[in-house]
Amino acid sequence: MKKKILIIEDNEDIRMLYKRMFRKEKMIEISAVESGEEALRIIPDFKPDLLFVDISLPGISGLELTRKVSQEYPSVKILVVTGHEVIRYYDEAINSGADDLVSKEIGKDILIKCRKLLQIQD
Amino acid sequence: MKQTPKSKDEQIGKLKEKLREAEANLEAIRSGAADAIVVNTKDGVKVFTIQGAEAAYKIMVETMNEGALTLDSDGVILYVNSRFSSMIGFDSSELVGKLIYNFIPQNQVKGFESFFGKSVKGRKIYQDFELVKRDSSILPVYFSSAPLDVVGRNDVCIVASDLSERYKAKRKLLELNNSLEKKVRERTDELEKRKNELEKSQQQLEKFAASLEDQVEHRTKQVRELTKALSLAEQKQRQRFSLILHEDLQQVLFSIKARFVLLKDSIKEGDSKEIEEDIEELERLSTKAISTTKRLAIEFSPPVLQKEGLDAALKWLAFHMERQYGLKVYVCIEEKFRIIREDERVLLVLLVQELLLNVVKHAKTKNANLIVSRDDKHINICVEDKGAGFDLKQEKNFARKKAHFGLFSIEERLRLSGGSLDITSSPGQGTRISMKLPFDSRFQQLGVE
Repeated sequence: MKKKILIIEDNEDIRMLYKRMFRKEKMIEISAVESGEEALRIIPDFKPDLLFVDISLPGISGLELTRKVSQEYPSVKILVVTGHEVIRYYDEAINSGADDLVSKEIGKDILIKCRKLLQIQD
Repeated sequence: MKQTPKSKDEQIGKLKEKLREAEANLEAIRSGAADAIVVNTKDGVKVFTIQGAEAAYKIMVETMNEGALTLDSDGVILYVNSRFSSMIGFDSSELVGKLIYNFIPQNQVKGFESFFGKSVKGRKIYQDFELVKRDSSILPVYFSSAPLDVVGRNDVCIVASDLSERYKAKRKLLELNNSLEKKVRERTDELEKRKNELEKSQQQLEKFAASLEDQVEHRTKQVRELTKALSLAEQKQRQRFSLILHEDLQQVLFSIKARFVLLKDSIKEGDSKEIEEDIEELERLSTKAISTTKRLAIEFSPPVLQKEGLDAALKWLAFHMERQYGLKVYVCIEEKFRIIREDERVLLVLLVQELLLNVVKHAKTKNANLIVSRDDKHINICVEDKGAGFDLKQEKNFARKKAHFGLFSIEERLRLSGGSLDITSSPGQGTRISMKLPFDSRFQQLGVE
């Protein structure tokens, strides 16, 4: 059974990149939205296994979304990504309910992190 | 009757004695030791002066510079010298036999009676009096009076000194004194006036100094506020710069980097479709990155601000506002000019930019007018819109609104450059904000459009 990842990223280029990165993942189904508000709207129907959320979002911030989702959907794994330094937000992200915080800079390695969180074997 | 020898001898003796006395008197007269002879006549004692002796005294008395007169105890003039006659303008013949009181002014008669009475009683006294002259004018005199030592008489001799010159001198002195006093008074008044003026000036100076202190304090406060506002503006600019770097450029660069990794995989797998897709995406992202860097460079230091006139800079700003914020700015420039100093040029464009950003943020409209005009002394740059506007009458809120719209710092920056800010606005009627700057050596006219 495929695992579902919901990508929340306001930058279109990055959204396109993620879609491209996950394209060949047979065990993963992805959906991408621009904002936290949109994410909260589709979560009940999409029922993601993993939330892949950018920390800087317009409207509801990435960490706020993390807090809400971790409280309302505790089974959903949450991976927060940031363009800033990881160390700056790591504790806050974890305290908000994130399972991990990674830098956007790691690029394709994000896939590895997602697989690990979703316990998907290579 | 037959005389006795004793009686004859006695007579002879008396005759001899008389003869000796007569010889002695004669000798005295001859030698000049006697001036006068007192003779006991049947009419009483009589004084006979000896002509030779009297002449010398008479010459002296007649030629002396003081008036002299003798009076009997009733005040009848017995004798006056020529000087006294000339002093009061009467001949001696007109004076002798007259009462001295006829020549004393009425108001001094009583005083003279007392003076004269004391003289008659044998006292030597002195006093100032006045004499009435022939022409009725008054002559001030100094009377020095002494009894005449003539046996059986109480005559009085008075020496009169003319005091008119002395009085004249005294009067002159008095006049001088009065004039001096007047001058002193005038000078004192002048000094008093000067002192008052000085005090007034000092008060004005103190008032001015106090006002200057207030102004300096106010100015210092303004500069402090301005520095704060500038610092805040700079901080905002930095934040904006950082945001563009992070939100735009950095994201593109992350994408480029990740795309390269994906491209490597595609090459490894030999998936030509994906290779092509990745290369195209990399090209697009690179173009975007270049464009972003260009935009950053232009936005934070527009080249148009460096050399061109203000009209070119404002037109660029209008273009930038439309592209960046969707605000259509209609620019109307009545006169072309440039600001010589680059920092002032940039500052003015930034002030206009702030006004236009206010339209973007608060006016709820997509259109604005930017009008540049000039009169003899000023340049007016006006930003107007037909948007939401606000209530200027609510004065309490006005200061807050000014602060909110950043108008306070604009106003302060203009004031430091000798300019001013004028705001017209009302709810629903739009806003018109006019910046007025003195057209001075900072500006250079480029010609009329």
